[in-house]
Amino acid sequence: MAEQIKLTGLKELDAKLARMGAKAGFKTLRSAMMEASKPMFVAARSNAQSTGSKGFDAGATAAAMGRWTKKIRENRTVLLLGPKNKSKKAVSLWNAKHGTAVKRLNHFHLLEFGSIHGGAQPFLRPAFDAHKVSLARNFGRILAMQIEKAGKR
Amino acid sequence: MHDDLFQFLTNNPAITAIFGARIFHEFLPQSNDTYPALTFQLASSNDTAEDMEDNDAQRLVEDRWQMDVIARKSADVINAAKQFDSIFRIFRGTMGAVAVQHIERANESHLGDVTGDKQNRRVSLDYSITFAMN
Repeated sequence: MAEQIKLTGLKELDAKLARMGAKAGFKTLRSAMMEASKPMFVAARSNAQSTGSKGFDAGATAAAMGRWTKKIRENRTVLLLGPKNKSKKAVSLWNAKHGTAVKRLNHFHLLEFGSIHGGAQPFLRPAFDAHKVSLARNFGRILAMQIEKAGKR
Repeated sequence: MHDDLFQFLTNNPAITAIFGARIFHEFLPQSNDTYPALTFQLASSNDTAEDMEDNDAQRLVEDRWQMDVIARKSADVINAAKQFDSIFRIFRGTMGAVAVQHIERANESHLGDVTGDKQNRRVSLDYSITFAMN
């Protein structure tokens, strides 16, 4: 479950981010990534909700959906989007439905990819495919707006 | 696309040489006990925007199909998946009533399933198939 979008060709904006300094630059970049990925996230959560409405997971997958950024290196930041297996709300929904007391949910890959005896109910891939082009197209504009916004602060 | 794809998979001699008649939609029947086997299902489908300046332009559709190659042993499943990939990915042309323009492997995951005391190895391949639609 590791689909990736790598954007290049934003050298001017990259230079502006570098001039803002490490901390402010990262914050601005993170805001832009969060905003640009919002349609993809909303679609994935909505897909997960319809997976949950089939009754088995009581909406736990949708409740577990999250996105977060990670600064891997000085010049490399990634945004990850998907279900968090230790989400308290999701675990509590699951336990209430199934009368269990598990502390984490480990079945999300089975929904996304299925198993040999059960078909997949993909919720991440349709969202990724539907929004990857618009995300790549809009990211530069959103980042420029965020840099301008940060400059006014 | 589903029927056209199923017909293509079950009638292509190179593919049936790998899987025989063990090509199934969505999941493997529990009665199946011979491997390797192939399951396929639609994961996502997106239409491209129509060309506003050309009334005769065909609409392009990009489907993502999940193809799962299943076998008992790791080496067998990897070998079968490689063979299948080398045949399927290069296909261009007519698939039933559909004109396939491009096939690209979008993802590959190695997964496993345990049923009772039996283990199954699975290579899950995602293919992005672009085809024209009237």
